[in-house]
Amino acid sequence: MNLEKLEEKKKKNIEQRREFVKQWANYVKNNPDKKWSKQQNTVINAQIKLRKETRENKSRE
Amino acid sequence: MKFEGNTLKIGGELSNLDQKVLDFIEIITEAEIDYVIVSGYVAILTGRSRGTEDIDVILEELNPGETDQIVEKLTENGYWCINSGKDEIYSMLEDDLAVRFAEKDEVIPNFETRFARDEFERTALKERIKVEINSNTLYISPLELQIAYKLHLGTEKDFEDALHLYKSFEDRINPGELDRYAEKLEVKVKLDELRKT
Repeated sequence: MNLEKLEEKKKKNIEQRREFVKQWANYVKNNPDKKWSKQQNTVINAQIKLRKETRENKSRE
Repeated sequence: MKFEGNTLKIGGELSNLDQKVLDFIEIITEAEIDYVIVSGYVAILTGRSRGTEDIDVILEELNPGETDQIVEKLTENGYWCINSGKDEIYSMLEDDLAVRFAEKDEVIPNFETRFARDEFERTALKERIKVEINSNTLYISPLELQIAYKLHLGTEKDFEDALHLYKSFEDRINPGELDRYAEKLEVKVKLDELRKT
């Protein structure tokens, strides 16, 4: 495995993520709360639902 | 989402996480305890698209009796302390440790609560920002302190939270205040990086 290439990939990934964070912050700033919160809730609610299901499945085992 | 005077007003849909935070904070508010929400949930409340396992809540210092009362109220409302027995809660808080409360039979998300002890926690509490989210009220840390604190924590996730807050409130942030906190928390280099991002 080429560690240098891996490091370069990691750096690019960080840059891209930061670019997305900026883009999303800009979207939040320039759109009605209803529009961004609906999309944000998809991420947050799905996470809570998944954890709940995982916990319930484990308690059934 | 916009500031009206010193109050941040947020409309839109509440997430399940927002509702859990509001339920917990309602109990703290009814007990007339001063608090401030800090760290990750501040970024999430203001739109950052990520989940979290814990919500950090700084409380004013309470005495043992007041602590017992709030623990009792939380218990009555279906919360349990996941990292301590009821009898040790005050001594943990007194030792500057956090106690975590979660809804009954659950572990996450949990509310990581601690007393305001250091300079930054006391400042966050004293200069907290009022947030009106639909018809509910919450208090969060001043944005400049929050950004500098996130940079101080140092992980990439924290940097992204700081970046979200910085870009979302660029017009509102006091650059001098941000510099001052960054200097105190020794994150001037990180702040330069944030400003250049």
